[in-house]
Amino acid sequence: MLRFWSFIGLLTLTGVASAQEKTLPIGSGALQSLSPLVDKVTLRGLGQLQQLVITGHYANEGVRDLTREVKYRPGDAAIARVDAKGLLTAIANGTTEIIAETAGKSVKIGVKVEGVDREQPINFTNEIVPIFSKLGCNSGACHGKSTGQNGFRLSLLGFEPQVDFEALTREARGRRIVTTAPEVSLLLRKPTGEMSHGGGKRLNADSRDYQTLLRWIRGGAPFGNASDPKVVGLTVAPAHRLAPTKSSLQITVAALLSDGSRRDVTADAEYSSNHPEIASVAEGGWGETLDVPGDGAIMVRYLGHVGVFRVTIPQEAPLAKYAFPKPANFIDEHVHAKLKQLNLPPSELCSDGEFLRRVSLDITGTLPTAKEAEKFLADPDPRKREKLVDDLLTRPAYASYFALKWGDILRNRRDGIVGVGGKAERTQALHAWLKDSFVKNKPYDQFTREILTAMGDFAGANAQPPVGWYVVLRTPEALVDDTAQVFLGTRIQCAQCHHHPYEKWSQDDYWALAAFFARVQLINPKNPKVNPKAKLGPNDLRVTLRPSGSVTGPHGKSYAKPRPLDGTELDVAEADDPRHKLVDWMVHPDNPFFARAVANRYWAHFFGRGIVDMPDDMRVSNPPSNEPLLDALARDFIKHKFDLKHLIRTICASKTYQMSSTPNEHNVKDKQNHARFYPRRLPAEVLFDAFDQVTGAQVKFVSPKGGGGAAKTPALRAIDLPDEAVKTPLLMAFGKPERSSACECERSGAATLTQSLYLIGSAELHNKLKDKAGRAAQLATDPRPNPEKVKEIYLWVYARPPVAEELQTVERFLNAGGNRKEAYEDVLWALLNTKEFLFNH
Amino acid sequence: MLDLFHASSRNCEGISRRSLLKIGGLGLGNLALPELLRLRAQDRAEGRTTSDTAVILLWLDGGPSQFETYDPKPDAPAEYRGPYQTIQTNVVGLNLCELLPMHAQIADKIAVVRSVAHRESGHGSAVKNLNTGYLHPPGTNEGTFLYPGTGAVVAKSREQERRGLPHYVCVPTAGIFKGDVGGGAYLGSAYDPFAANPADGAGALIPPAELSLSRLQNRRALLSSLDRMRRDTDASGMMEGMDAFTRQAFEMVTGRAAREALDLSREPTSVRQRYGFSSAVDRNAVWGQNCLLARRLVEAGVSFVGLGMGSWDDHGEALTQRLPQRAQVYDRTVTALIEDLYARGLDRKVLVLAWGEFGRTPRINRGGRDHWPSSMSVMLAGGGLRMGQAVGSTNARGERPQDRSLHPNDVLATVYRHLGIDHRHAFVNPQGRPIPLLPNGEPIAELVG
Repeated sequence: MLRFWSFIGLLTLTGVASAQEKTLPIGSGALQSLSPLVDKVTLRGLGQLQQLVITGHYANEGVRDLTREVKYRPGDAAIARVDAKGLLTAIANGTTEIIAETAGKSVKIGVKVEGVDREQPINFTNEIVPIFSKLGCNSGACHGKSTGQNGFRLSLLGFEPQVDFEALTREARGRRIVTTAPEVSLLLRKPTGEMSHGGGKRLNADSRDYQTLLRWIRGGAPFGNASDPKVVGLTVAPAHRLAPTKSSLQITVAALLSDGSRRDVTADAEYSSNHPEIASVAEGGWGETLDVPGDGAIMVRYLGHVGVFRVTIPQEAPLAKYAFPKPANFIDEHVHAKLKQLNLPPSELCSDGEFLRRVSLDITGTLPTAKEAEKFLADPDPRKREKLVDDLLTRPAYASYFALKWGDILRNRRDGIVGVGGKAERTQALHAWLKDSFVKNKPYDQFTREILTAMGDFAGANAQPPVGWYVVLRTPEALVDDTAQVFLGTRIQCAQCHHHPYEKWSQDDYWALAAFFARVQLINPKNPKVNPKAKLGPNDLRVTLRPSGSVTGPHGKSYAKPRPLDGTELDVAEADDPRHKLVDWMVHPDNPFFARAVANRYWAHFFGRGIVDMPDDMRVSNPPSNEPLLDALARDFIKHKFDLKHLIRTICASKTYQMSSTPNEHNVKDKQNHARFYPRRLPAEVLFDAFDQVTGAQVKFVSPKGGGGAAKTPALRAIDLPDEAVKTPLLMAFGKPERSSACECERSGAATLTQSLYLIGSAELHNKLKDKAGRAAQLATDPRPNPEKVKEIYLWVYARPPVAEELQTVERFLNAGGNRKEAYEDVLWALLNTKEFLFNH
Repeated sequence: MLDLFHASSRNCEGISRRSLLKIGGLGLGNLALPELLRLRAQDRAEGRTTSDTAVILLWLDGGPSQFETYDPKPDAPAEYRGPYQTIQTNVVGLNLCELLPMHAQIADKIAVVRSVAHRESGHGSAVKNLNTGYLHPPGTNEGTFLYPGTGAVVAKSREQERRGLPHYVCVPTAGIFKGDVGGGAYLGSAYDPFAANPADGAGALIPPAELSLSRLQNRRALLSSLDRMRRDTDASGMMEGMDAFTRQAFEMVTGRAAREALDLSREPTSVRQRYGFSSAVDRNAVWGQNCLLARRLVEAGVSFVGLGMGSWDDHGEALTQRLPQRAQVYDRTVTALIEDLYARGLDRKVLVLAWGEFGRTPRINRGGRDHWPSSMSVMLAGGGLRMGQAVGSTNARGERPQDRSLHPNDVLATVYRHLGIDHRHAFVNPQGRPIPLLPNGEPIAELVG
């Protein structure tokens, strides 16, 4: 009933079509034979290229790329030429063969060249625009930006060939293209540096691209015929390879044309590596693996089409020497399978103290107390980790911490439109609603529906606090951007103004999705006629629905009927809320985006890295590091009725989450496959509260004055702050976000000089340490012997007792004389500045 | 207690001269200027680029009138000309408003660009436009910069260079400056201006008094013996990065460079008097010592100093009631800064840029002038640029550029050129989109030629 979307869109993307292709092991032993990727090549037209790929087959039935190892011998060099890199060029009509040979093995490739004698008029879209893309002319930094560059504007990344054609042939008094004297065309003289060019020299006069441009101008600079074949898709071959570290391999790209033919475009496509520390790629599709085991993805772009090549890079390591822990659930099974494929031995499991600290920080944003640590360390119960997770999920701090997280994502901002200061009531209301949702463990589908279909007012009778989301976002464009990024894990905003450069999404897809919000109206209940964008305070707005409405996309095109991504247009009756239809589509078990997006987002919360990374940038050209794992996590989440606590429990119960962060000899470079736990710096608010907890000097944020009066207002911790407005230098330095975007990346986890300066010299931290009623003051007068006190400090800071050497160092420092309280301040300061404190590990 | 209702904002407010003076008198550091120079020489030897150029941005918040500063129109009808006279300067043809008599003595050391125009007539949008080079959509939240400020770009571009001080510093003023000249935006908060705020020890550069040098050194030693976590647990390299920052921060906090730069008492009284002290009757007078501080900061290695000198929003009677007094302080302060830079041979290294959001309406309205982005004047000094000239002109009534119509981004392109930064370079934002430093604009030929 709800299956109104289809997956047709996916089929136009590459990588998918050939994903079934079997991945062979890495070749070892003696070379047995050679095989070409294609054994018969047909080249049409003078200069047409074909990139060859030669694969070596070895004794172990594995393979290696030998494209640049073999020697090529052309049968008849007058028909087709081949260079040392295996690039074949058509010269004259005829049939011949190429022989590739190495180490006594050889293989033949049949070559047929035709159509060289026929005049092939150049098609502007198919042959000229890709040159602009490859040379960067139409990039956003050059002529592709909306204002152009020095009066010459091209459509961004060549998505509007007609516009580019007009700019070249009609503007600048026809000087850009001079068909009567092609060589003086600005199009040739500027990029070759013959005339001064702000973008520098981009093109060599002896290059193939120059020759193509010249031939096009000589031929009268035609746009091409409507009947000329169009590029309708790409194939990347091979689609996936296993390759050793520090090796190289050839990728080929073929364009599928609307007449059913294929053309090799390996030399003209653009390549970029998603993981430059794992694999790199050069022009012409030549990829290289580095010395880090893992998965590399290379994105391929050609004429608005996107493909991906994936390479899996195992390392040499004595895996058998290492024990894999017994899997706790499906997560471990998938992670272990991947580790075994890559020869990445896992680290040991983490200690109880590490687990307590880690999981308390991740679930409640709070350090365990010294007492909690002592009790947990002493507890003999073998199920104590599991019980701890259950307990943490019932604490108010769990709701606070996840309300903070979702407050960021939903941009719960106090500020309104320019000139209108927002007030706290709206952000407070949404914050309280978020907390309540997590306390009640509201199913995620319902949570999403309540946000997306919010109606009426954020306060008063029948209050719907998620109205605040609409008040901040306001326009259909902002709503669709955030809906896609937050709930679908897709960054669609590029497609508002131009075709998405790394995805299949077009402007049509974008505006049809925006049409779900076309009827949303923000009004001032006191005066519905006033335009809410003009003068109203954001707190006065009410969400209503108009009986009809449309959004206006590019070139004034109107979109009234909404269409979900990869779906078909919907008719929505006036009495129905189109937003409910949108949520119906999202929360359906077969939706390919919704559950995966949140499963991945939560994975990133607990592991510091998404299975797809960045977590809200899921696209075909950015594949997951472990596809079966992400699938299984999403399926399990759907099966358990979108239960967020279940998702958290599943993650925290896994041995993968309970791995030590200490690397072994063979997994020290792993950043992707969870052979160990990756440490990450504590987020700003968590760090702030942790400082308070350790120093015992709680800074209290005053909550707004409600009906109960100022005296009854509770003091807030930093993780309980409802919005972006309250800042301290420490919170700012450590990256508390402004909530100006839906991207979690806005919360910076980076290290900066400012942070170090604040840790060393700020009054803010110093005042916490020297607080009269704080921990240093208490310890200075505490009659207990030093070792006991030092142990307590260590439990507060690290959830573990000190080792003998640490105890000795601290005691020696404390006994050095001088002011006792200051000595404790110094000890606390030093511990608070260690990586073991500043990081969750 | 921090009040939830009083949000702080990321700008340069809140310092008083007295507190600036106070931070001067702390213990001696162990990293003197020669050592700092040695560090920088080492940077050069290790292949890190070192550029000595710097910029002092004098942000004239509110938008000063071009008529009453750098583009008087003595021949215009009275309702355009305004209440003030025109004076000649030591450069023939470069006449100024009578409110800037000290400028008139050093007009050969400044350049005025009179033909800058843009379209943003609101304070919020114009502040963002002029400080980032990018128009912000009308619905952009107040105080939210979607693009990095010029100083943040400089900090990013020079991040590999180690200085005894941060690259981008805002000198706060006494609560006058309500704007914001831009933080790191998508580059990250690491490139936000370092605000020398006395409430937090000049942004923690000067630690609280109890933290004596020996105590800081003890802490550092204790930390190094207790901070034992294996650095290779973090494959991202962030732990090592943090260690490097900690070393650098200790050098700054315990070294002399920052302390000395911030210690105005090291200046001869005559110099301090020339810049001007603040007074109870004129809060703007705080600009004097702030400008002096700005000079000391660029001298000590800061690349970009932002300094608020507002508010020039002279609607109605403000044009006659408040402007003269403000202009007097401005005149004294800015000429002091320029003369000082020249006297110290810093005029090639340091570029001073003074501008605000826009110009003001040519026709007097209710005794004052309103917002007018269609023409505005910009003052530049030093930077090795060609001084003693007016670039471009406006029409007889000062309504719009008459020749050499220029965009604010042409000014920013000139600034970037001075700093050796390619304004066409693009940084990639978190969405993966490359964004050039400026969407348009070229260095102003008359200045750089």
